[in-house]
Amino acid sequence: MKRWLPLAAAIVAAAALSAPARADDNAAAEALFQQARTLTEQQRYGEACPKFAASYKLDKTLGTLLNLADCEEHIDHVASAWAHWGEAVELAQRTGDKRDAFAATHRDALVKRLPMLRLDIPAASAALDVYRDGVKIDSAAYGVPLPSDPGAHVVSVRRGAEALVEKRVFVKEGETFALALDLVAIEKAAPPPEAAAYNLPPSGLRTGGFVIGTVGIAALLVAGGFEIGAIVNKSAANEPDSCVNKHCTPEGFATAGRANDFATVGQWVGIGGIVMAAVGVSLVIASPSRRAAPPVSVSGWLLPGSGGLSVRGAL
Amino acid sequence: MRSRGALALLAFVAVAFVAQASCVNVFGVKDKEDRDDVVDEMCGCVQLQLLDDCEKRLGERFANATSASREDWLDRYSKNGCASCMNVLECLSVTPTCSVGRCTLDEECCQVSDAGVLRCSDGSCK
Repeated sequence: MKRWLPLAAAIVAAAALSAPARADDNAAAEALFQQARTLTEQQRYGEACPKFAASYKLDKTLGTLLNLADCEEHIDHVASAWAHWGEAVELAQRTGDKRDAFAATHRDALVKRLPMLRLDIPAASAALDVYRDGVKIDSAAYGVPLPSDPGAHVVSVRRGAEALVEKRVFVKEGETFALALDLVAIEKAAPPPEAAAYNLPPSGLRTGGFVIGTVGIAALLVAGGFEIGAIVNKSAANEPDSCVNKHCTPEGFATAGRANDFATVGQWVGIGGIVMAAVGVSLVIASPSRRAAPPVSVSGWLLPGSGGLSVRGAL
Repeated sequence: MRSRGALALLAFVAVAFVAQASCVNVFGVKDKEDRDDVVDEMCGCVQLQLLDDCEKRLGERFANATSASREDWLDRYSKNGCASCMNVLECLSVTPTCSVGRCTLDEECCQVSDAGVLRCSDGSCK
């Protein structure tokens, strides 16, 4: 017996702790219900329905549910009302409430008015999901007429958070609207990013690209410095007091050699810079973007000893 | 997208290697390989092999010379064919390669100076 004492104490404590929150919920639910009732009496059903719904969310009583269904029926939210009448029937039967018959009568009366939305999808896709008004539709519901409130609805096909297709449909009371979606074709038209082909994660590729590209541009600047040195020495070597008809003073001969050395070093550093810049830009372009990026255009220019790249678009 | 990046890379590498062939010619001295150091040429001639430290001696005289005298000397060297050892002494006796002090050969002494024609005697031009 003593062994159960701590458990019993814990249960009592938990109940004590949760009790105030429950009481608050009930009070809020009651306040919302009273406001909704007042609005209903004033025939302001559009404002009343959300309050009944909020009240029912806090305190799931049959009375609130019946009022919610009735309110929705008044604003022609036929499908919502039909679903709530049905829920009320179940709740009433579970609790032995006699109002189940009243709810069932209303539910059955709405059947003929129900607008239906059918998603004709020949083949499901593991990568793509279909949503109606932001709520995911299970693939088992493909091809099944789904009760929907009259009016506009948005059906979207998504890969993760990315919406590939978005269609706006309009359903009317008593009618079934069929929307055909070919998920295979949609998937083919928007293939997934090729990030998996690289061992580096996308952000690593991009960062690596920027680092390599920056080093490449720095190398191009250094190469430019060497080429300027080459030009200065070249013009000194070509002075008439240095070389005449390929005959040079020792100083002129050394200056010509320096010009060539600077040009050679500048050339190889420049080539390295161009290659690194190209690799960097390629990595940045190749790294996949999480959102659909605008087209990226790359253009380059090359002058003797120097070069450059320009990239336009979002990286 | 990946193929576009690879194409850009290939294009730049190709352009870089094409540029590599011309870069030194544009910024360097195109005919550097054909140029000669006149001191090396002269000291290579048998007529100047008696000069101790020939290259050092002539090199210092060029280094201490004015720009105008170097220019005149190079012009004469080219016109008189001093690159040929047959004529090398003609150029040796002209400023700045000639001397008014230390010497080994008569031709090393400046032919035109305040003192007139100089001769090499006891290692110095007199």
